[in-house]
Amino acid sequence: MRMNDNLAQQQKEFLSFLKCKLPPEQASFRHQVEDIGNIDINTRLGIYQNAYQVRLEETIDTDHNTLGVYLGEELYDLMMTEYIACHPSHQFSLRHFSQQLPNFLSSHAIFSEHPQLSELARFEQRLLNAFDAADSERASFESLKELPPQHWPELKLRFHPSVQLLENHWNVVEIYKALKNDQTPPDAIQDKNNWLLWRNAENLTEFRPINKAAYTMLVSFQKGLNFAGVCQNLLEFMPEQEVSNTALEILAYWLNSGVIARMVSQP
Amino acid sequence: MKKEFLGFGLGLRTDHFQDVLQDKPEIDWFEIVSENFFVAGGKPKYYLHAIRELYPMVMHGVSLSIGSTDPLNMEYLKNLKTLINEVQPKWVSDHLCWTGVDNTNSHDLLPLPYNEEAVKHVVARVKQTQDYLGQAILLENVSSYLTYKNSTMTEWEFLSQVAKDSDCYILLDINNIYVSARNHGFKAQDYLNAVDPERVCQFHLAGHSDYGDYVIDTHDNDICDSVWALYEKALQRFGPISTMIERDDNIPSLQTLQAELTQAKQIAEKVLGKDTIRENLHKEIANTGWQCA
Ligand SMILES: [Fe+2]
Repeated sequence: MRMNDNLAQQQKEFLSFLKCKLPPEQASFRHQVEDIGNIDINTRLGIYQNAYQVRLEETIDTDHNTLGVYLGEELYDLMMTEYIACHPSHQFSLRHFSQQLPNFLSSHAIFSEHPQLSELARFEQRLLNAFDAADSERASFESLKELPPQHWPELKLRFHPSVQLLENHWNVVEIYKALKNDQTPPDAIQDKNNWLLWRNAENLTEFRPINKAAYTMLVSFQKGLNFAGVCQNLLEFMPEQEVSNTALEILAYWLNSGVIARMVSQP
Repeated sequence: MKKEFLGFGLGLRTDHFQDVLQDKPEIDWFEIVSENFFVAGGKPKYYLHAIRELYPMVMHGVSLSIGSTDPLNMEYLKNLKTLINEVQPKWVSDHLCWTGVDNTNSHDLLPLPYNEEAVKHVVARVKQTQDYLGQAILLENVSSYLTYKNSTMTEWEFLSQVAKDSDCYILLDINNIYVSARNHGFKAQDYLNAVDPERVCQFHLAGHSDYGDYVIDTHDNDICDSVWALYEKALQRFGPISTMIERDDNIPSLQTLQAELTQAKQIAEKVLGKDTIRENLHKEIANTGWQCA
C-alpha cells in the first residue's frame, strides 16, 4: 500500500458524502467516525453536510441576489440545490463558483423555458466582472483636444479592462432595475438591446444602453481599426455628413466616462 | 518571518473599508483573507493598498488545503506569492486541515485524522510551501465536529508535531480550542499546556453559536465569557502574542468591534501588566515559556 492511501480514501469518502444528498444515517462514511457519546454521529456529519451546502448557497446568493428575488424562494432554492449538485467547485476561490449559472439555466429542463433567467444571470456576472477587473490608466477628454488633426485618422483606442459589451434578447436590464428598486418587475418581453458596462474612475460599476453607432464604433475599435476605419464602418448605415460629428460625440462621452484607457495616435 | 508582537488587530472586512480609510481608527494591525484579494483590480484592491499604507497587515488563507492528498495547488501558491509581494505582510497563515480532493473544493475547513501518516503527509507539504514562498508559515487549529476512528493521538499532539517537524509557526485560535473541546469533550487547558510557546505567533478570538449539546464556529457573535476566560489562560502561558478578532457574519460597526478589541487589550494588560504590553509592542518575542507578571 502506498503512503497516503488511507488518507486519500478517507478524503474521497468524506467529500462524496458532503456532495451527496444522502442522510447521514445512510452514509458509508459514518463508519470512519468515532462515536464518543456526547453528540450522535448523525449530528456530527450533518453539521459538515449543512455547512457545505450553506456556504455555496450564500455564494450564489451574493452574486445573484436579483435573480433570487425574481425567481422567488421556492424556485431559487431548487436552482441552488441543483446547481450545487451539478457544478461542484473546482477553484480555490469562491469568486467564480457561480460562473456556469447562465449555461446551467439555459440548458435546464424547467429554467430554460424562461430564457430571460439565463440572461439576467449573465448580466449580474458582467457587473461582477466590471467590479473587480484590472485597473488601468484612463485617457481624458483634454488629451483628445491636444491631438493634432493630422493624427486623427490613425487614432486607435485601448479600452479600460472593465469594459464589456452585453447583447440581450430580453428586457432583463429593465427587470433588474425594477427588482433593485423593490418594484414589481415588468413582464419578460423579447427585445434586442445592447449595453455597455464598465467601472468608472470612482470605481463604480456603470451600464448604459449603447446605440447602433456606438456599438459599431466599440466593436470596430476593439478589432484594432483606426478612427478612419471606424468612420468607414459608420458610413454603411449613416449619412456621410453625420459621421464625424456622431463619432466625436461618442468619443467625448467615452473619454468623460472613463471608458478609454489609452489613445494611440502613432501610425 | 519575525515573531513580532503586533498588538491588537481586526480582520479587515468589506463593510469597514471606507470607515477605516476615512477615520484611521486606533487599531494596531489588520488581517486580510488572502483569497478575497485574488482579483485583478477595482474597489477591493484600491482599499487594500490604501489601508496597507496606514497599517501593518498579515495574510490569512482558507484554500491552501495543506492536508489534502491532491498535489499542492501551484496555481494557488503562485497567486499567494503575488499577493505577498503586493501586501508585504508580517506573515502568512492558513489552516491545519484539508478543503478538497480530486480537484473539488468544499470551501470548508475539514479535519484530518491525527496519526503518523497524516503528520508525515502534512509536514512534507508545509516544507514544500515554505520553500516556495521563501518564508515560514503559520498554521491554525480549526474547529471540528468529528473524530476519526483512525486517529492515534490528540489534536494538540498532532499540531505540535506538525509544527516541530516542518518548522512552521502556530496561529492559535482560542475560540476553536473552546469549540472543539466542547464538541469532543477534552479539556481546553490540556490543549494550551501541550502547545510549545516558542511556536505560537498569533491568536484568533471569535464568537460562536452554542446549541447546548454542541457548538458551531460561526464568527457571527460577540466573544463569549468562556472564550475570554480561555484567552486569559492562553496569555498566562504564551505571553504577549499578536491578537485579533475574526468577525465574518452579522458584522457590527467598526466601533463595536473596536470596543471588543479593547476588552482583549484590557485582559492582556491585566494578565501581563500594562508595561509588558507597551514595552513589547513591535518587538520580537522569543520566549520559551512566559513568566507572568
Ligand atoms: Fe480562526
